[in-house]
Amino acid sequence: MTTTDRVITPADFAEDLAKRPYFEKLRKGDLDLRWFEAEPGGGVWGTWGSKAEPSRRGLTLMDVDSASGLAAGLVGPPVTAPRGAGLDPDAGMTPWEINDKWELWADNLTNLYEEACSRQWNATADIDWRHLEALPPDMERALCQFCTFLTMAEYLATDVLAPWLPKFNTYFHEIKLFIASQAMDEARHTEVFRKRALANGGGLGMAIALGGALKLINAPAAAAGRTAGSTGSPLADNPLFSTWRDVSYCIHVVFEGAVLSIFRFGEFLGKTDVDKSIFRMVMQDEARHVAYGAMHLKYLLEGAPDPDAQREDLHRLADLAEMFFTDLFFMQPATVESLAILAGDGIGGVGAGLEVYKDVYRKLREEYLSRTARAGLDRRGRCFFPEELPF
Amino acid sequence: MQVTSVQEHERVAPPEPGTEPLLFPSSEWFEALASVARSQPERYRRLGATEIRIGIDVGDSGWRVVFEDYEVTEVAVRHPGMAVDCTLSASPEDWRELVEHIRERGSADPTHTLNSLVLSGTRFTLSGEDQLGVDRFYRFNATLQAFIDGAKDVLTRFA
Ligand SMILES: [Fe+2]
Ligand SMILES: [Fe+2]
Repeated sequence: MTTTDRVITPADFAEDLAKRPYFEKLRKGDLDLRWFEAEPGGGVWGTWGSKAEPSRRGLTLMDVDSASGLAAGLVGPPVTAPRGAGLDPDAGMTPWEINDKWELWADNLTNLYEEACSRQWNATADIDWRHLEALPPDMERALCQFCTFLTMAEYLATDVLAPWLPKFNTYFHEIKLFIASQAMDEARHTEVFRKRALANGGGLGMAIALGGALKLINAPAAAAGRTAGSTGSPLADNPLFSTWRDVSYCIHVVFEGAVLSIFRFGEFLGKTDVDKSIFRMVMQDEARHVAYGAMHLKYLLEGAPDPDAQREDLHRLADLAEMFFTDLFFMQPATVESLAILAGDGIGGVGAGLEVYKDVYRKLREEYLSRTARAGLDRRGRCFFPEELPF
Repeated sequence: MQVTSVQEHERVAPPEPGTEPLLFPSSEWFEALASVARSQPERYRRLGATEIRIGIDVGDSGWRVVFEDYEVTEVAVRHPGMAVDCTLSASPEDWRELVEHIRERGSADPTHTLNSLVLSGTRFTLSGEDQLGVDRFYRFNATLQAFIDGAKDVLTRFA
């Protein structure tokens, strides 16, 4: 391979390693042992004497925190180290983008990670695929369209959230672990909806155009002083996703709050035990993501140094996010119609199905308003989710 | 983990044989339902850790069922002021229909799952003072569904 100044071969690399002072000393039996001889708490070695006992569930992060006294403090130091560890004296400082607890924490965060691990499931083997039952062709087509839409919607969550993982200070392992678990959840959701679309005689339907939603966001974004970038990627350019606060509010609270209701609707609409079980399992995962978002919002509004400014800024963000996701979800003909056909027990009942869809939408909106109010951001009176859908 | 309600699951010990039908609703009946759950520890462990205090109102009577970790840890008659995350309510007639349906079919059919019943909202309601508490009904829904499906193993009589 080529480095900047020379071509290096495997033999060169091995020779370089052998010349390092440490290995020259080691060959003479001279060990380093700084880590071994360091006093616990003296800076090089972290802690000693912790003996965490498993609770009824097994050994949880909560058990480890309480035994070690290593609960999260308010700020992560600018180093790459697990919370509680010492540091190699040769290690330099490492700046992280997100270092303050209020920027990322939720009081249920550690618990939610443990819950995520405990409630993982397997889309291959835990769904009783062999007992899928044939649906009337119009119902199968509608369900396949719904699954196609959801397959795409799941990508949105992972694609937006995952790039934030390297921005969190390693001191707050909880957020890194939880968001990694969420990425796995979303992967499984994409997987299970793809499998459902292809397992019962139907197939993948029409990928919806996101252009309308993206166009809508850009006009009011400019008015609010949020401008899109110019990389050409709809996600990277989306002004809704520019800070973790904004990402979490838009994805966990607005988007996944709506997805949670949509999954509940999917469970309700399922005509077979197998379809019911799919939606029941994704619903559980989604509720966990929403639980982080709501509790993080609460923690942020209570713990940020400038809560009133944060609240006002979040209101402006929420205005945009609600418009964006209204367009993304509730105005897409293929989504509205596929759900209405499922709710109306076939294309002949689509009129009645639309009424059911509107009823579920009202519940979704009400739950969103209750959730945000509980977290300290009262959206009643200024919510951009229309009170009634325009049909 | 097989999450579909139609599957049979291993049991460590069978629930009380219960030759005498238990009155629904009553504390004895809900205790028996909890015993069914406790007899399937592996199933509940694989459904996952569950943290919810759910109120179950049957007409004017109410109970609180508490799930912690992998099991039901409390069944109690509900008193005013007793904390719950959310409450599932229906008339005695609607509960009776649900319990009889599960006993006949072995599990709730697609129109009788707890989520379907509360989403249609005509006969069963889900309520709570705190939306985050209500959301626990969704977070632990497969466990709650497995719990109520346990009614198939509770010999039941109605008032
Ligand atoms: Fe998802
Ligand atoms: Fe999600």
